[in-house]
Amino acid sequence: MVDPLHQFMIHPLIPLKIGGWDVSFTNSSLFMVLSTLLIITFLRFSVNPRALVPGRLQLISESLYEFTSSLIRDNVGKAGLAYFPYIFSLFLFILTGNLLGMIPGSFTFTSHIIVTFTLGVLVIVSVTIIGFVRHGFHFLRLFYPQNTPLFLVPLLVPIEVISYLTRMVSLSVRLFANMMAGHAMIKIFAGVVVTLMGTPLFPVALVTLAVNVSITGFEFLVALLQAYVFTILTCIYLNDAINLH
Amino acid sequence: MPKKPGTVNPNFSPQSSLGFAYRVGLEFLSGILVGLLLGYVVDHIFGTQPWGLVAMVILGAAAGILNIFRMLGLGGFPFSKVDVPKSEELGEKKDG
Repeated sequence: MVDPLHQFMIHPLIPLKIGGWDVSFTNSSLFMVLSTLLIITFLRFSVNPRALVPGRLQLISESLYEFTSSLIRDNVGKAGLAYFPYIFSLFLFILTGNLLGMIPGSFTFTSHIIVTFTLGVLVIVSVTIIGFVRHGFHFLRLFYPQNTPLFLVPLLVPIEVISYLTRMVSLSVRLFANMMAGHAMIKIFAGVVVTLMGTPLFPVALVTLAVNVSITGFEFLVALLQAYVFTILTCIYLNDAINLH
Repeated sequence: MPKKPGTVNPNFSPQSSLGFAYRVGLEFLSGILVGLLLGYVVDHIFGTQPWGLVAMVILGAAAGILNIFRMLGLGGFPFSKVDVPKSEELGEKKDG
């Protein structure tokens, strides 16, 4: 019971095999589907009144929309608004995943590196494609530092390319590590509380319980912040691709 | 990289300095990880057993350092004349 990593276990709900590949519908998939459905239903029904003066729910979805669009306008500029749907869905998907994970007993799919890495690779690949479509081969100037002496080009260009590729690793590891560390920390402190509660050391358990409550509040902050960080970094990478220096 | 109007400082995030330190470490680590991965791929394709890995890990570490320099706002384009901040802007005193 006091196993802090048990919550990250993936178990298949509907076992499924296609051509030797295990494509079972797992609890991770369940929560991804849940968060997608939640986003769609929320956005659909919160704007249902179409009031000029928005009600509470309509205000939430409108301010989410405004937040993302001003993020794009500030970081990328007007040209970036063409990619608003992509960034908005990315933001809402991660945000909902993080927040669903804060419900006790639920599963946080953003605490798995493979999920966040897929999102990160998706961001970098699509940003690269956007860059090539908009600038053609001129986009490769991104990997050529200005005023480089010619004899250093064979050394510096690979470094720039690797530096470009590290973006997807740091993007995904940041989200995954924050979510996993936070959730494991909550469980570890809760384990201390449970273990010490019935013993003469119970004052320690009470202190730990208080700490755990504050950590839970902190985790909500991290859940919001990491979704924001992921989104703003996506905007910055998009900016690099759209507005070449 | 000349600063475009309307861009916010990408290094800004409302995090503690501890979080900032973690991010510096992460940038370096991800450079080495990507170098490791590329080294494996290069060795696998060309059959140059240890050398691709050695070279790529070193290049990856260099890329990690470059990432850290960019994150700290210390330029990162070593030969451009535009973006190197003066030491006064960094809050240092050079009279010692």
